[in-house]
Amino acid sequence: MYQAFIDAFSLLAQLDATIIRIVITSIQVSLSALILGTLIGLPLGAWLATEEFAGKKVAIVILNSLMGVPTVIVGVLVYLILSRSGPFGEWGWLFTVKGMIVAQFFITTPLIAALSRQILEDSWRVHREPFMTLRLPPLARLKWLIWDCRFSLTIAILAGFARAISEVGAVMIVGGNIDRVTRTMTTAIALETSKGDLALALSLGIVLLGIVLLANIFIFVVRQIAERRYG
Amino acid sequence: MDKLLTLDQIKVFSDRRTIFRADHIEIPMNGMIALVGSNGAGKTTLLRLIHGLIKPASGSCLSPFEKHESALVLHYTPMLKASVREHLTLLRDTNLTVSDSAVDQALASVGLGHLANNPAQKLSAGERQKLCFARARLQNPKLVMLDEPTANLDPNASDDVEGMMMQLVKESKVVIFASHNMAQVQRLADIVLFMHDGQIFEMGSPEQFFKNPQTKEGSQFLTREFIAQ
Repeated sequence: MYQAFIDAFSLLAQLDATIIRIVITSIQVSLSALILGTLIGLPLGAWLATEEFAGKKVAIVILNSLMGVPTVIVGVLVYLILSRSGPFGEWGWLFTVKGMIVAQFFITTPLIAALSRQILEDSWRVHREPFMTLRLPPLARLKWLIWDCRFSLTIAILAGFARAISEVGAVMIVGGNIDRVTRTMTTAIALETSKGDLALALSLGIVLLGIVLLANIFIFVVRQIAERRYG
Repeated sequence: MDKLLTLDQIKVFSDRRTIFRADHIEIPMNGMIALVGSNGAGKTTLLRLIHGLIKPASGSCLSPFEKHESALVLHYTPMLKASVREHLTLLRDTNLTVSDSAVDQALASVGLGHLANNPAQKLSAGERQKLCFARARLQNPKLVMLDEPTANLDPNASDDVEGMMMQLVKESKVVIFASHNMAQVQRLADIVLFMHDGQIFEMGSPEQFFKNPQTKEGSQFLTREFIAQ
């Protein structure tokens, strides 16, 4: 076991090309999915937080439930959609980075939307009347509400990133874990562990933990600065 | 004299409870109008009704002003996590013609020019109220409504706010304010509306209301208020 750790750190120290390639693929997939998930999830959460409509409570329950859907289920569904016989089969996105981004988009979006809704709803209760008094149009209300909660919303986005970068089920099914093409940190860790190459698996695990830790530190520092400035 | 408001057979409900009603009343347009009455008398409801924030369940509320010609400053306005200036520039979402120089002028007019880039959440209660005044002024309304504009302010800040209210009247704007400060009402108001239990019980000059209230409720209210103050 100790030897595995020594070998893992040795691989990291050598800046092993395989590790770098896998890490880049992982970040590329998860960041793309996160950006898309934020672009859709944040306005969706804001809309749910501020608008009243029939079935709103049902929509919130469904959205909250989607946060906890196992990633393998998402993987299977996206696989079916992107497979040759599926509705988007002709795009040829199965076993590609694009397909993996789509899968992770469906994982991050509900999470970001649900967490955003909760954060924004609390703020909406406070700012609703002033916004109405100023006669801000609906889109402006959403814009200023998101602006007001921007520092708290970083937590929702961070949660989306953490879920995307650490999931294995969906990218394994949709990406196929193809070497040099769709292999990510998590799929590589699963594969290398099963093959007995613990050094590579551990080194990727260390990088994965490091990325999540760095993201957390970044968000923490941003929030600290914001709180000092804005109170 | 022109009418500021004509209320006719009006009823406003909240949670199945009548929170405001009036058979027929015409409020003249005359400088500064004070709404007085106990908590829950319907003062804020009347301001919100005039501003169009709530709709009556029945009856009509007629005013010569268009919707965009009124501004309402709430009793408490929570600040966004944004700068003082941003609290004014957000009006560009309702009126694209709000210029940077107009924002600067509005801030300077309330003495907040030097705090333009500071976070609004760090302003004192008095400064927050001034910021709301600056925003109301930037809306360029003909009718300005203020809900307890000097509540929780120290005497200096209250004086500043009262000065701003008088300035608005000098600029030919009609000002309606709700207040629990009877000395302030006597100082500022041209017309007093006494409200009780969701109805306007009395309307008249401050001299008339304070010296010779026409209703038992008005008399009791004044007795309580002056004992309290």
